[in-house]
Amino acid sequence: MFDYLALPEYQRALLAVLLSGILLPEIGVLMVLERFTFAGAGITHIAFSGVTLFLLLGINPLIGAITFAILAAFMMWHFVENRGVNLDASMGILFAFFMALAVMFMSVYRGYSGEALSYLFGSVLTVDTFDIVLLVIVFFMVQIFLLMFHRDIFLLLLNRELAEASGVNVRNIRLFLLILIAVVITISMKVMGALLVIGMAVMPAVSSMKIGRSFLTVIVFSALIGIAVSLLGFVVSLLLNTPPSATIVIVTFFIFVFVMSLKRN
Amino acid sequence: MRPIAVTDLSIGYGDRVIADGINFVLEKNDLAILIGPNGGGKTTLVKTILGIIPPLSGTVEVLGCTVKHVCPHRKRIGYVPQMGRVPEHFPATLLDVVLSGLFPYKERFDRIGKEEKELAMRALEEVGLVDKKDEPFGNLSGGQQKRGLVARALMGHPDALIFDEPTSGVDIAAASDFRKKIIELHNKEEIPILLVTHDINPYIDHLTKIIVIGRGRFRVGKLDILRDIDFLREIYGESIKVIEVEGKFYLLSGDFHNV
Ligand SMILES: Nc1ncnc2c1ncn2[C@@H]1O[C@H](COP(=O)(O)OP(=O)(O)OP(=O)(O)O)[C@@H](O)[C@H]1O
Ligand SMILES: [Mg+2]
Repeated sequence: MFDYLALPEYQRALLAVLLSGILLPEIGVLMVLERFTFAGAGITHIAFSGVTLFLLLGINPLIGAITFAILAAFMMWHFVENRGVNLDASMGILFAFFMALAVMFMSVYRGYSGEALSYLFGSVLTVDTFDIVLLVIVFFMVQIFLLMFHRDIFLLLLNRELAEASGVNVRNIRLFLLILIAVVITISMKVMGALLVIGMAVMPAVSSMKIGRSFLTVIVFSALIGIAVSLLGFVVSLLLNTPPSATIVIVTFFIFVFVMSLKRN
Repeated sequence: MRPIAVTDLSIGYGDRVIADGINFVLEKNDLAILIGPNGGGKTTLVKTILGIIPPLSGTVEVLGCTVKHVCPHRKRIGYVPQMGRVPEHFPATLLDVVLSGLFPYKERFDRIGKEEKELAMRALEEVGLVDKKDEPFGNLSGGQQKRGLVARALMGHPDALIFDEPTSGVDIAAASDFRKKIIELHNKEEIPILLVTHDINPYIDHLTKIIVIGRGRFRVGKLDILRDIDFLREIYGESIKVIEVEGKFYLLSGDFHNV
């Protein structure tokens, strides 16, 4: 097993797994509290339509995924904040629109490659240096955002009016939050797969909400659970020669079931 | 400097006007009660004063600056919103929520110290919830959550208090403690207090203003308003009656023979 870790693609894979293993659970807490889990799943599909378009254009598909995800996050924010559409419905609308785009692109792009599939199911061993650099940048952005704004986010999650009366710029915080959620989900797609990303965001979050009592401890616990299951899942996948992303999600599920069986302190 | 001054204010949402021609001032020693029927615009007025929603026209001046502009004082108002229960899984203890009342008074990276925790404990004592301090906030009952939010609003020496139905859903004993606390604050502190509430009588000897809003109408006065039955009928509907007994006012509606 340790022979593997001498290989650069395995080193990159391990690093990528760990970075998304921290990022996804952290933003997962915010997603669960903002009731954004379905919308998060929607983002993966929207990002996927970006992947198909950029493959068609012959540009790095991750850039397409991120562009589409940010665009969708911004449109969703606009519908919710400026047009009074509820979050769930705006996601439904954008989801349909972007999937229709994806279908159009795919009908043009016949030679459908394994590359598109790697975004759907995850392909951590094909993670390249560019992916890692993006993960590291986003990692620092999320940590800085949480450090700077955790009090504002806390008030926003408690009650929007209270937050506003306390001087929090709720509209901006929500825009930032949506974009960060979209970006984290998108850059984790190649690592975890579009279909599995949400599991890694939500399961550690819900588990840590069961154990932790205050907002920051819940986020920290969530990240710690994320690190543990990513490492464990990655090692198990090497030993059993199974797909890493699926193995990690299955391990996370067992941890989730275990934590849920605990009595609350 | 007048703490709160509202001039030619029109409130509402988008192009829907809820009430206009609103003018009043709250001075440092005012205890004002805001009444009106459901949907009359009480919460809308409160939110406009706090800058949560923009005025349709007119101005709101809070602690010396208009709400429209970024104003560092605006957040120095202890506020209890009219809100539903905070959901069960909200990750914070009651103490965390009370301490969050200090956030507006703190710089971004200022820590919350020991004295401030003690301040929070005293606020919790005032609302009778010290023994619940480590309970997850979401596990408290609706009435307990509301009392927790009152404790939160009292943190950090606010320059004004605005409470939107602070005693609805709160039991008789706790509501009575709350009223005593409000009257004590009114007597001791030099800050304006604005209460949205349907019970006026407990405050009747202390209140300095009564503000009525409903059906697009607005008026500010004192007990004279409660004696103006024609005006009250316009606001609450034809079936309203007011009975004044020993300086207390009872507003009745409908077939009050059976009450
Ligand atoms: N966000 C909103 N958008 C549009 N209209 C609203 C909104 N909130 C309230 N309204 C409308 O504004 C009117 C006044 O509502 P408001 O909540 O201010 O009444 P209220 O006097 O506080 O009533 P209550 O006694 O029930 O608390 C109502 O007709 C309501 O339907
Ligand atoms: Mg109201």
